[in-house]
Amino acid sequence: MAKKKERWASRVGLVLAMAGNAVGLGNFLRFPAQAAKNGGGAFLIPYFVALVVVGLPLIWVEWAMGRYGGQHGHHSAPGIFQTHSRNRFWKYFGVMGLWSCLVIASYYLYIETWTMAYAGYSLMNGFKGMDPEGVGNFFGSLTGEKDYQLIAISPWGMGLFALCITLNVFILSRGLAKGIELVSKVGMPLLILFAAILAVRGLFITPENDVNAQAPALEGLRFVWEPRYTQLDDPTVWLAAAGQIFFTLSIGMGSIHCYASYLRQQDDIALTGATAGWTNEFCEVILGGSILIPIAVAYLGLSEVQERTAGGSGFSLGFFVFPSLFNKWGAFAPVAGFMWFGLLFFAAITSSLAMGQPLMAFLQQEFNYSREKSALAFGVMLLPLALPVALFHSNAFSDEFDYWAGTVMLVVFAMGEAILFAWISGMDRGWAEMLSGAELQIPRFFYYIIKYVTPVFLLIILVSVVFKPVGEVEMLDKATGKPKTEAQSWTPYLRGLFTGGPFPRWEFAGDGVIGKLLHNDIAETRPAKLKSIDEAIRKAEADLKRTDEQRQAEITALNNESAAIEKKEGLTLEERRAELYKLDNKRKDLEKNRTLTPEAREERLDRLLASRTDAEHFYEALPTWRNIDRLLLVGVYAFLCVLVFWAWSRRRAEGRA
Amino acid sequence: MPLDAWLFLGIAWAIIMGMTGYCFYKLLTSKQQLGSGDEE
Repeated sequence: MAKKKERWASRVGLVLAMAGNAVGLGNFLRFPAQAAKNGGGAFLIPYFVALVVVGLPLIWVEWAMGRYGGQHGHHSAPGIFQTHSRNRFWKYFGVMGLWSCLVIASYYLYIETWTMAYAGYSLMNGFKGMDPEGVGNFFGSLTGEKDYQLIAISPWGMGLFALCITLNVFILSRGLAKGIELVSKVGMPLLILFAAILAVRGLFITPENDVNAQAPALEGLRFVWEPRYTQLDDPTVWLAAAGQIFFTLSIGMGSIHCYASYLRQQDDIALTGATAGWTNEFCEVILGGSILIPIAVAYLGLSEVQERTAGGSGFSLGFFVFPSLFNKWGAFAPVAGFMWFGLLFFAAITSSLAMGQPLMAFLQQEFNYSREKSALAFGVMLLPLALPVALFHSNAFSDEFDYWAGTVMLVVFAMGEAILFAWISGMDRGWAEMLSGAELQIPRFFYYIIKYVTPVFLLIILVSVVFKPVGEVEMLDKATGKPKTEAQSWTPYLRGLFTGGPFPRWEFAGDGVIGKLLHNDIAETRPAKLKSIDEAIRKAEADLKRTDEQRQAEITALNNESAAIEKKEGLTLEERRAELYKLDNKRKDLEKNRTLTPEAREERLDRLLASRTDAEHFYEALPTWRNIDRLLLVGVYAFLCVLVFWAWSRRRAEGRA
Repeated sequence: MPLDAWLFLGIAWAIIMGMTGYCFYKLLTSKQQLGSGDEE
């Protein structure tokens, strides 16, 4: 009996599914922090350059490759790559398109579970009255994660995780049109609506209309957008912009190929691909840039937000601080919390579904699995990766999965596909494929960009990630006027090429590929963490020797300082509130400390001493676990290669190869 | 917020909203639709 071929039901549905694939947590949590860290408004210059030379070209390349592969009966990267070159290498290289999706899905679904839990708990008004510490405790109970403990088990967190995987498997089992497309048609408009409501509500916060506000939300917008042109000659900023474009568009994963493979030869890909890409930009730059940081700056002040986003991620603000900030919105708080985590959930689920489809399509195509059976198989194949993610500290498994599958391999895969498309299969053929059925005239200069600029750009990114140096330089600390050492990555070496040096001693950075393989990241983190525990121990010991009178005197001194700031002339309302807010936080800490009994102080010291021992054991064991983790990743890749080998053996036996 | 920050924000938002709007306009007014249900 003829089997009905799966197709998308409508162009808008396809665009929303593709945009949903691209719009993820990074749009709302990572982009604003990256922009603020890397030059503010000026970051948008390298960002748009990267969009033109890497983002849009690779979107069209992936759509064209996917549609072409689909015409030859292939819906996943190994087969699609094989249709572009008969060399077997490309088939096994294409396995990366299954592997990345599977590995990323294993931890992405776990984060999706958190958004689901947070959305539900917000709607129940569970975060009412909680401060960030309280929210942190909720997070701890959800993940079971404790500082410096390798095992992290939370029964209810695991239960929700299982529910989340089941939900994804169920939606995938309903097929393209009734599953993924339907969820995208509902989820994407809701995501945009929720984000727009939060952005508008947030941007109008000022100290005049909200007594809890430390600064106007526009101050946060300034933090994101104020251009710092001097950072534009820093190569690290350009790399950060290219990285952001790369990850935000979900290129280099194999999911776009898979979605595009369900199109017919005469279906347009130029306009549809561009629409999906620009929709992602709308969600990232306009919506993503207007929620997290403006609201956080309004209530916490600029300096705390700078501190919390210094690493280039807004995760801590989004998951630990935001639920407590929404409490300042009164009766609207539960709805606001639900909308924030709801939009993150929709962003996550539309992406996680896209990660499941390639493997499902592979099993359906090569092993004649039904939709339901292949969806279930995807869920089962996730388990060896998802279980360690849920059972162990994030430093042991999920961070590593994110690094190798969610960062490095995306660049490797994209570089491979750019070379295959433009140089091995041939650019003329590729260009004709891209323009087939096109409703948007792609400018001719993209022909040359795809052929020459994109592969070189990707090569530069790859080399910079593989050999990334610490690049320490001595510089003057503006605050103290004393010399200090600062990590500068590639900057001093590249600048040194033009100025003749000096070049710092070469050391591989912990977040570069070689540095990571050498466990330099652990060597970098360990001393700082141990030092901070030692500092806390020293303070706790000193506190044991202090009298109640001394503690009270400190609080009185802070009160006097606050009173002086109240009377101080020449301060703006925002500056006065920011100063008072800082002092108020200090006072709260001191008052909390004052109420402790001597036994509680002793217990605190004991806990810190135990934590010191745990931290030492943790960092000693971590390299071994990281190695196990890497073996697991290699094992999964090998397993998928065996499946592909088996599939092609069947094809040959059936005369389909 | 300083003028150059507004300028960057305005230009970036205008490019993105313009391109997104243009693409959706072309898409929604296009006569080309996806085929459905080819038999295999």
